[in-house]
Amino acid sequence: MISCEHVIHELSSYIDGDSDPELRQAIERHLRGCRRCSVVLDSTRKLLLIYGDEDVLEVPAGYFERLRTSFLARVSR
Amino acid sequence: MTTDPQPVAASGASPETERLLARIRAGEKGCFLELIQPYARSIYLVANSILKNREDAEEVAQETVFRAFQRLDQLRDIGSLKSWLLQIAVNEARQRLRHRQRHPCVSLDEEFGDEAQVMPRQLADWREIPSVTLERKETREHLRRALERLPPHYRQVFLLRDVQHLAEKEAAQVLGVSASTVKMRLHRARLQLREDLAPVFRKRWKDRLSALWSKS
Ligand SMILES: [Zn+2]
Repeated sequence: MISCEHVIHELSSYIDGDSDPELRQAIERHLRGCRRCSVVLDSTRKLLLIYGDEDVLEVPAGYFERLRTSFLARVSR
Repeated sequence: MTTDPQPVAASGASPETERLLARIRAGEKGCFLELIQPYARSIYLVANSILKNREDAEEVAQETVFRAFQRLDQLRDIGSLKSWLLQIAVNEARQRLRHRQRHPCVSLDEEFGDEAQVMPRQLADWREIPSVTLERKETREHLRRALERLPPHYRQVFLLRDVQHLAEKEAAQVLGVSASTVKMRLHRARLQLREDLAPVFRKRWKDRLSALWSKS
């Protein structure tokens, strides 16, 4: 049985599907018996869903328009 | 006609993109804005992840778009337009940062000691987060601030990988670090953000209660 520390250390690779198959299986066995690591995994996945939604971080109002105006002014010089 | 070999810069480009490229080459400069429009938001966010300042990030975004236009002939593959633009944005932002700090010798890749692994301490379940919650101004503020509290190197990697969805290799190239550095920083960024945001998203007694009720 691998330790919680080991699972947490591998967490990111596991989420990204980068862990090798043997380790992956060991992690899955661990997760079935460890509520603590399961919660960390589940909440990390939720975190990624939240930030992965493109519009969640805002750009300042009027940004696109100012970008456009500045570009057109500079290329027409 | 369709069997003509494609120029390198247009490999894998959609017909729409090819039309835009052709018009830009023919001198319709305004078309460049259409070409980069899908990435304009990313450019700003990446610049801001380095500068943490709206005005500076916006100026860097403007500079980035202009520079990219000037160097369009250096873009080898239109398929990598996004990471190419973001790389220019990173370079412009770093330059501005150096200027702002007036310490041209400060290394931007300064390591923060190889701290021992941090074990998660916030162990409450997170609730399901409906999109209406994410649309709330307050929630967005929490997300923005949590990101700002990350050490700069973690923040930049997280933004490129988990917000902008660049591949590990692309993120490494954009930031000028190795893929294994990207991997390590991303891991720490995720754990730290999770820890930081747990109080915002953890299940509250109200959620637990309603879950109980819906079962009965
Ligand atoms: Zn465990």
